[in-house]
Amino acid sequence: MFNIIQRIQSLSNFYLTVSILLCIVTTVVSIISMFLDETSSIPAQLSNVVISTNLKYSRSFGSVGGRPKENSKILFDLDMDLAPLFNWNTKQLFVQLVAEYPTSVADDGAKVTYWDSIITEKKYARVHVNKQRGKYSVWDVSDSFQGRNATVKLKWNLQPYVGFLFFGQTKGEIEVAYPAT
Amino acid sequence: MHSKFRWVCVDTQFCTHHQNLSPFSYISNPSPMSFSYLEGNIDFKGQELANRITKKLITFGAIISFLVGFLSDNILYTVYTFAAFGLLTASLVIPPFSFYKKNPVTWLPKKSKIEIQH
Repeated sequence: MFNIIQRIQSLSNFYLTVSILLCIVTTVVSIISMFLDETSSIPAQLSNVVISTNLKYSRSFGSVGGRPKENSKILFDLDMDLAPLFNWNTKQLFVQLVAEYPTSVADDGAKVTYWDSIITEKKYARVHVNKQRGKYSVWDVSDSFQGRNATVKLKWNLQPYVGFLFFGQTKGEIEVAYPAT
Repeated sequence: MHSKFRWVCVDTQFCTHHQNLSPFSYISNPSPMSFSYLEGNIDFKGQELANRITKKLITFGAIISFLVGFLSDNILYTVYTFAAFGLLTASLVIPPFSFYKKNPVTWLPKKSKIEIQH
């Protein structure tokens, strides 16, 4: 602390140390407040989930060598309120409608995303959509979805200002059968 | 100048008065060519005071800015408040104000050479 350079050094050193502590405290407090807000069990009303399939012949829809590839699309109603996820440390939310179905290549099943959305503010946290179409056309490794059941659920990913990413899913999943072609 | 004696400074961390080593002993006899006023040197009591002000003000600022952000539900206010406290502390501590120089070190008068036999 003798001359100006030393004072700048010791001041910035202590300032950065305290900022790191502030970040750690912020992370811990936001984790605690997420537990207190019971964010692991937010209800979501998924209904009227309809999965339709059709055959595609283009390479951009997964077809190889002109063989027909079955693509699936989704239509759903959704009503949920993700406002408990917006605490003071939340930057944005990423929500995605995920279907899980048994597949030949993975033991724990395939997880595919049909629809997703980014929620940036608390006033948009209430998601209420009717007859919403999925964003993505989904195909499997095998040529057909026929005879399988999908578990459709809504997963969220919380991106905070300070701290780790948090992953979770809402309560209320729904079982849908893939149609026979 | 081939003396087998030399001046030593006991407190090597704080003492910059190597009077026999440096021909530019700008602290003991400032000359127009020296830039000691840019260094902003303060005395020992002032250093302790500056240290205490830094520690207390920044710790206090961290607590206050955390509360401000938490209660206003916006973490950006935490960042702004903490930055403001950092600037306030810097403006209080970095310039060599006169209250950091109230207790100048009084050196013992030069009586004779302190002799250390090599």
